[in-house]
Amino acid sequence: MSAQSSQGSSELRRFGGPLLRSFEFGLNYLRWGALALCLAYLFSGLVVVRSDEVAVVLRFGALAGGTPATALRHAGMHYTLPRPIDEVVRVKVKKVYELEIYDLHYRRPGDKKQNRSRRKTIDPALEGYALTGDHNVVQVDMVARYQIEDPVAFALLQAMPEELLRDAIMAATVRTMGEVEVDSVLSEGRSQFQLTVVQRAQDRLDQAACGLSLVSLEVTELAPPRQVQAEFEQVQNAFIDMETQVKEARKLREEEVPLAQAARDQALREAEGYAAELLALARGDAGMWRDLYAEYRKNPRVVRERVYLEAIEASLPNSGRLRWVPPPPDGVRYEPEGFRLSIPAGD
Amino acid sequence: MRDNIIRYGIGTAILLGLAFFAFTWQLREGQVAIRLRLGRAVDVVEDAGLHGKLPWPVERVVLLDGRARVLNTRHTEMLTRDKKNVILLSYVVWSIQEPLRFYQSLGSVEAADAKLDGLVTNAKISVLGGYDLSALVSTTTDDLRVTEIEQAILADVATKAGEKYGVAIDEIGFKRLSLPEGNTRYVFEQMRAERKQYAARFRAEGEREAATIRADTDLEVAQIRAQANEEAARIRGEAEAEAARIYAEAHSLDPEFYRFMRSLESMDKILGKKSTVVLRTDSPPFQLLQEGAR
Repeated sequence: MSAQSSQGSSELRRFGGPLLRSFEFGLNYLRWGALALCLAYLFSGLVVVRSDEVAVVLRFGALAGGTPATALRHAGMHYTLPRPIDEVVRVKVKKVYELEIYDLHYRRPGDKKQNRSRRKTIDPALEGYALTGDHNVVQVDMVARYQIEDPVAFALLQAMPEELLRDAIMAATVRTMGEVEVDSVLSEGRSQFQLTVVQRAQDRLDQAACGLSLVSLEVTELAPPRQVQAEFEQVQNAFIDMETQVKEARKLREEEVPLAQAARDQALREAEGYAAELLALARGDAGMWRDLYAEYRKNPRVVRERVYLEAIEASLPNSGRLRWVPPPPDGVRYEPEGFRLSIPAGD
Repeated sequence: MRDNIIRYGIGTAILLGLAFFAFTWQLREGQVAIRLRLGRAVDVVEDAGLHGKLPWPVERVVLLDGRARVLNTRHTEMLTRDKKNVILLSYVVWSIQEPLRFYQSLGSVEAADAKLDGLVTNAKISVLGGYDLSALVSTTTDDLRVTEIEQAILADVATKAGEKYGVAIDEIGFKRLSLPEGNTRYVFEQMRAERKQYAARFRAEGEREAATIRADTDLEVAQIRAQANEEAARIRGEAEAEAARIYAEAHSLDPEFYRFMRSLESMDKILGKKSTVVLRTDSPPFQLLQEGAR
């Protein structure tokens, strides 16, 4: 190689000398370069599969080894033959992808302000919605989360797996919505609705051998269209009013009944107090009476007189006036008989 | 000498490489191919891998995408059996089944989409004409025929697409069911009327239930009051009876003396500032005054 380059060197040197010298230098090292290129080519078959992915190896375009199982390479370092013999297709199987499904909603992608026209009707070409079983219009916005379950089907057998996923979910939604009542799906039936949609969508995906598995489906918005929003809110308000009314009536009841019970307890306590007082008084009086009577039994005349005089002493000073009449002569009576005080005869 | 070996080696390698690319071709998984010799199809290849051919311009290979594709049909109004206008948007999953027929009749994916759209739309119109709207949306499970309708359209389209274009239809689904724009006005009217009815019903129900609770409350309060009165009266009555018994028991020891004592008590209670007492001068203790004077 060096001999050949020195033959033509006299002519060539007349043109750019330094350039040619470096070319010659390069030719000397070409073999090393060729060797390095060969090695680099062989080493280009070295593949590192990351932990969140698998690789499908294609040999001359076909699955290496002939089956999906033999063609798959899991996380780690693998050697494949360099191109054009082997081709490596990486598929992120651990990653959870997200897809928003707004086709049954008024929102459109890249439309931050939300496409809310003031029309009284909905043009199906501009705005999506679904029909419920009882012929109500509702708009639904969903976010699907999915994973690649079958890397071979996903990467090699499906041209548009995401479109298929979207359409399968929409078909499941339209179908399920067409069976339910609007009031149910807008309230307690929503989670059941979501479950049914996921199941039906997955069935469709499986049937089409899509290679995707639906991890979750989140219904981010589910509402009647704006044209009838006000009426739905009125029902909501009426419902709240109903609950408020009932709650207030219950509250009143919870206040009034204990009040009445408290009043009853008080009345009973008062009655018991009265009874206790009355009985105490009666027993006291009876006791006093017995004491007095015991005294009386011993000395009736003295007690009688003392009691009588005490009574006169106590009561006469309180009376307004005193009048005196002499006792009637014998055989004469005062007519009509006035008030007469006498010490009734003793025993 | 060593230089020559290297030179020949490189030359051979380049020639082999050229021959490899001229005489072989690769079919990737998911693709199908037709080998054409001077423009005439001689072979259909569906097995992925390395295949041989005569070099261009004698033979040429047309690669077609054999993977499943999804097609969305356009908005088209159609009539149900009960004369309701609906717009049924569907998706179709299709793939190439017979590459040669596909290549000869359609040639490209775009052409296939257009033809299939027509086929599906026609099938939808004819199948849907045999069903009421309640077969698509209904709260009565027995009325619903969605799967049946989808299968009928699928069968119709699959037969025609297979025969004419060599295309297999894997799945058909309804991804949107809409009403013509004009009809939504009536649907909304109906929805509004229904909502108003619900609102009125809730209001009435709330009032009724609240009234019931209030009436119950009043009744309960009245019952508690009555019970309290009754109980209090009983307690008082019993106490009075007991007191009377105690008094009676005590007084029965000497009724006459009791009467005397009671009379004195009464006198004290009856006499007041306005009363005038007329006494005989011989009433005790004033008889002392007379006796003293005598």
